Amino acid sequence: MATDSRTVGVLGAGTMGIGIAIVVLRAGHALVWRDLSNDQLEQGVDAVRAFLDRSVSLGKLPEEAASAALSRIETTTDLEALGSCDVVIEAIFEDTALKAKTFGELDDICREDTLFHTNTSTLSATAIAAGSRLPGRVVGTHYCNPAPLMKLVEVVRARQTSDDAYHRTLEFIDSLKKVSVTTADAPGFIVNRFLVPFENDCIRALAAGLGTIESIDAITAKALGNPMGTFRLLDIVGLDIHKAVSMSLYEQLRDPRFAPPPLVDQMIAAGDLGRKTGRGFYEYERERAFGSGTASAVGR
Amino acid sequence: MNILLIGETRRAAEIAALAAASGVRVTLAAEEGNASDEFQARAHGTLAALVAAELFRDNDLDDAKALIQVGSGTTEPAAVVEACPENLAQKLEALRTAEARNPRVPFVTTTSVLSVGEIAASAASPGLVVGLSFPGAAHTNPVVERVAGRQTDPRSLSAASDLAKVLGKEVVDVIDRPGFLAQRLLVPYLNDVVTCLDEGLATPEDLDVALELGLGYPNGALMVLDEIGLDVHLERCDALYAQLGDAHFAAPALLRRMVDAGELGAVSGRGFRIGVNKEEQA
Repeated sequence: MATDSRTVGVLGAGTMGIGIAIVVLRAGHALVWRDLSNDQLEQGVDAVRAFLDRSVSLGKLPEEAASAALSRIETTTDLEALGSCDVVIEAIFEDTALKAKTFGELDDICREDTLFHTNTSTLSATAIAAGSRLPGRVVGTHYCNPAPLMKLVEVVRARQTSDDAYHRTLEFIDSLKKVSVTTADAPGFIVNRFLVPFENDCIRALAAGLGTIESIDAITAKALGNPMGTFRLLDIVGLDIHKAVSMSLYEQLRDPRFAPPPLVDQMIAAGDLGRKTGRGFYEYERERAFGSGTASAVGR
Repeated sequence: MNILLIGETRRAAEIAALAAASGVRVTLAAEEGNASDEFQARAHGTLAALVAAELFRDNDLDDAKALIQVGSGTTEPAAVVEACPENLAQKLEALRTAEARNPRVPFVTTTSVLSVGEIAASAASPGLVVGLSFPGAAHTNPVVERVAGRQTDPRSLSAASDLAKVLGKEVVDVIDRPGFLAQRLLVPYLNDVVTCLDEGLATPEDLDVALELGLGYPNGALMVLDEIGLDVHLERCDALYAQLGDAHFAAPALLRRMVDAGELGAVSGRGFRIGVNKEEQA
């Protein structure tokens, strides 16, 4: 175990909470994991165990390390249990007021030097920090999904973040063996700020008949070198999630590039949310594009 | 196969190197002199880069170099390929040169941002004009966009595919709208990153690292711009903004200032990332 191991609180046992819990445990830290629901926590621990077991069977983690990691988990539904934490990372529902209120409650529970990290992808770290009476300790840390596999963490300096909290946050991210980049507290930070409007541009190009699902994916994946075509990626993300992120950024930035195009609403209305419903831009049973226009590229 | 090449841009040198590496004889339509010597040196340099990237065998290098000639070709080319700077006047001058030398041969414009139909409108035989747009570096990017103007005849379209196949490219058919697909999608994204850099969102290095590790892009946007050339990107912005009137295509002020200062990226040795040390970035 690392000599500088800390006690880390994680709030929320959803997808991001589970991913962050794995990252924290793998780095040798002790985990106090809080969710409102015991069932959710049980499922979370099962997911962590399954992930660690797979790492062992792939030879990426010694068996003792996996069982030691599991023994460092303490689950609770009680916020009071986070009193001993050096760092608290919240990965709860994307709602500014809820996140802000939670940090306010933690003010009465945690030491004054406890770092409060908010894992938000589209909300303002500044607005969330405002919920704490010691807002200087609040720092945004945006983990990319899936957190155990993605190396990047966007560190967001809220307007109130103190230099001390910022520097201790960089050290903590380093202890997780992640690469941090520092961004201003601007909507979407870096990754979503540039990805989401690009995706919407691709959808608008499709709707305008500038290309087909296949030709636009060929250009984005092969010509521009992205790891996969934009429409394949959107099908994995889910059109409902894409719409929510787009709307959040559009409302903050008021730039039409961020607005989800009408085709997104149509697809959601038809239940074509992507891989999770079996059909989005592609049909997964038959492995072909769905609803791609037959617009000819010749002579238009 | 042999082609007549018009233009002495970096793009033209990439095409000459790619063609020669593919066994195609390239004749540069120019007078022999300093400019054409420089062009040949650049094309030879690009060939050497292909060898270094293990995309081409070393022992064929001299054969390939010999395929690139300057002046008048002896046989009729399969196509005339123009790779002039991205402004209509120079494209039309290339068209005149082609018509004077080979009036019945398909004229392939490699424009990324101008209209194939608009170039065709000035041609004696508009049906001969067709587009092959290289979305990245012509010698390494696996894809080429084939552009049909409204006037393009089927024979010219198949001549363009034949050439693309000999050059080893996957052809993606696109319609004649500003920026086709690749630049239409790429330019607003690159401009947005430059604008956010100017507004202090993050350092150049952190912006690129986030895009590389967060999205899996092989290079961050600022390194991409350094490689494209800031002057080349500026030319694209100006052409696309003029046609689309959409502010997302307008060149960001920072880009223009850097071009004014001669900071063009890899070609000048200084850009957003290249030639800039960490202290300067912070």
